[in-house]
Amino acid sequence: MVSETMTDIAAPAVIKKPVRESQRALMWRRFKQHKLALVGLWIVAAFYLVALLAEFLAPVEPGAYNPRYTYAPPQAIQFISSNEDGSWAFGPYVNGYKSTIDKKAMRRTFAIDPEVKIPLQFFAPSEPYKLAGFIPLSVKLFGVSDPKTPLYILGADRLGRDLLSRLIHGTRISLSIGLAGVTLSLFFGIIIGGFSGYYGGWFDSVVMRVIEFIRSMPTIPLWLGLAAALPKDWSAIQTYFAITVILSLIGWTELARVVRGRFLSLRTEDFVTAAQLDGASDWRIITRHMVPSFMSHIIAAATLAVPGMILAETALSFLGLGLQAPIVSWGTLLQDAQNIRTLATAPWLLTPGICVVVIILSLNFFGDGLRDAADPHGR
Amino acid sequence: MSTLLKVENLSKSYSLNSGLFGPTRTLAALSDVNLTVEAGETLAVVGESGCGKTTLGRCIIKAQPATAGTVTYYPKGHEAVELTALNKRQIKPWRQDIRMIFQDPMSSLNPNMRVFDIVAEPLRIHKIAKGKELEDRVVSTLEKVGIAADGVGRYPHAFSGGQRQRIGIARALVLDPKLVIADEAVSALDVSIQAQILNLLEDLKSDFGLTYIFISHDLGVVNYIADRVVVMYLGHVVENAPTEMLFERPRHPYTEVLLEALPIADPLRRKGRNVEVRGEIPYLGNRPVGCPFHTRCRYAQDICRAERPALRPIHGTAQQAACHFAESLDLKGAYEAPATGTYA
Repeated sequence: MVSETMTDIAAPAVIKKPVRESQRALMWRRFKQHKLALVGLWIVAAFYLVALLAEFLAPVEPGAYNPRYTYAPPQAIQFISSNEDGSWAFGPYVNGYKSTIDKKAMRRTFAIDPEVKIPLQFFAPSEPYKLAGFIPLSVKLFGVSDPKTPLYILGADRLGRDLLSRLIHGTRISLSIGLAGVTLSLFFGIIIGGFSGYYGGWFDSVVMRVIEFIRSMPTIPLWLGLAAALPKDWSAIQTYFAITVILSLIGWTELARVVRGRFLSLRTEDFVTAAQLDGASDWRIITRHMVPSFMSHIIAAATLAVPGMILAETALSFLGLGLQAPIVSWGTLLQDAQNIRTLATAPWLLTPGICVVVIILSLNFFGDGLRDAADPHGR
Repeated sequence: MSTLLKVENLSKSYSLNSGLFGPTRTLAALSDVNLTVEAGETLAVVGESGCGKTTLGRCIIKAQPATAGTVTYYPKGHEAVELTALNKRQIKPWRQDIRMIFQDPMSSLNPNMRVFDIVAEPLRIHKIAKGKELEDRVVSTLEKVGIAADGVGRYPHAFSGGQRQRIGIARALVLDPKLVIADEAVSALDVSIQAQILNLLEDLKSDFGLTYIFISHDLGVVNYIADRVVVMYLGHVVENAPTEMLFERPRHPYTEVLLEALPIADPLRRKGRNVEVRGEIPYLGNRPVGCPFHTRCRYAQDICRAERPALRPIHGTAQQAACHFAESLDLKGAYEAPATGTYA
């Protein structure tokens, strides 16, 4: 025993390689026990991957239209085809359409034509584009060799645009607006809430009253009013950022409250007093002693705030006051599904709604799991 | 012995706001506290909860600003420093000399920092050591308080209460301080651990040449560790005496009551108790006129209700007491002749 201790002193390498698990490892272990959260994490990760690789994954351009195929129904991808001579072939393909024009109703109706087989091709060549804005590519994950043949895996909208491609591009906008909004909220929330909680006093009272005032306003009319005030001649990018700012205008209040609460409760903790008595500066106390002990809570709170942002953007865009065409987001896509006639004839236009539900639930479960795991010591 | 720290007329009051438009009242937690701490002694500050002993410690170390009065520190080979007059930047170098040990070992260590970083933090803040030197100093300080070197990479939650208190002590001692304020340093620990920590504090005192201000409500602990005792009541110092004298013959009725409340593990001696404290401790915002203790004192006379006695030396002793009848009262101490009789 004694000799063991002696060698420990002689070899301080022990200090550098602690056997204990780090905070992060403890959090991960706790997080993994929450199965729903784990599933949520994978789904969220998959969605964000889609958002990142949108141009590569979408078989056609989101704006490409074809009036011959308005409201074309979804084609099912099939893998095994039987030829006329009875032999079998393996390879993904979709069937073509047989279209008839209904003279009375003045519209085209489509039926799947099992005779026509349109083979799908992996890494199909395409027009050159830049992946995520900077990687030049001229190949898509999959596509058809002849660009004239129809490919509508999730169906087409009223202009004959491919819903799948639009959905994939919409994912990018909708998910990134959630992240950007939360980042902006987090920035203001941490700074304002932090000041408020750490220094207290009149500043704290003023900030709290302002937050109460903002939160007492009904959000939808406020958003509508602000969104309606945006100049119509703004470019797509400008509108995008303006909407982000409008969403975080309310979002920061929630996070500021969380941050302030944590600061208030930590400020009187003995270990913070100890740091003050060590002579540490306010900056050091905040960044080294206080923030690390609630950063995980903040991340969890921020994760739980993302779905709110996504929903808000979807709601605004659905009402036609958020993002405007030609920007593709889930909200603008759902605008097409506003009337019952369209829904009756083209129910596939509701797929963006399913995406919204799935991502919101996943983010909520993920956030819940994070929040539970943020307390790895079960304090 | 030379004086290390002098507290003069130290007062601390809090203002209480009752509502937005309500009246502002002041609540005096400390009033006119005077005491000196000699280099090398252990000065205990005792009293009931709410008597201002913790506030005194926090005002001395400037964890809270005092409302009035001065705290003067006399460093060796340096002219006297009036701590109460310094701002945050000016006081920083003196924070190395005066350190604090906290009551609750669960909340006084940052749960997100490894033990090594907790103890190294003061060295880093004061830029005293870095690299290998810092490592050596942290590890050797932890060794001295009885934490093995293989524990330095762990988080505080991996340690027991007693071990955590040792880490807290290491954090206080790593800067090589002169004066350590131990605020109820053993109160949160169970009795066997208390003894270990008290012995550790005693050992460290001689190793490091420390002076302690030991804040406690436990007279048993105080009797064990202190050289001198300051008794506080309602923010006033009511008695200041060498430990033995105070336990032998207290000079203030409040001290007598405190000593009487010491638990006695002997049923025969317990029977002989007759001093009981009357009433409740008065609300601080509504302190009695005259002697602060007169509402509960069984020796109180008219003068006690009218005039506040000052803390004054008792003739012929090394004791100081704030009582009009300090010389004439024959108060009962805690050292008594062994009980006679049989354990039936």
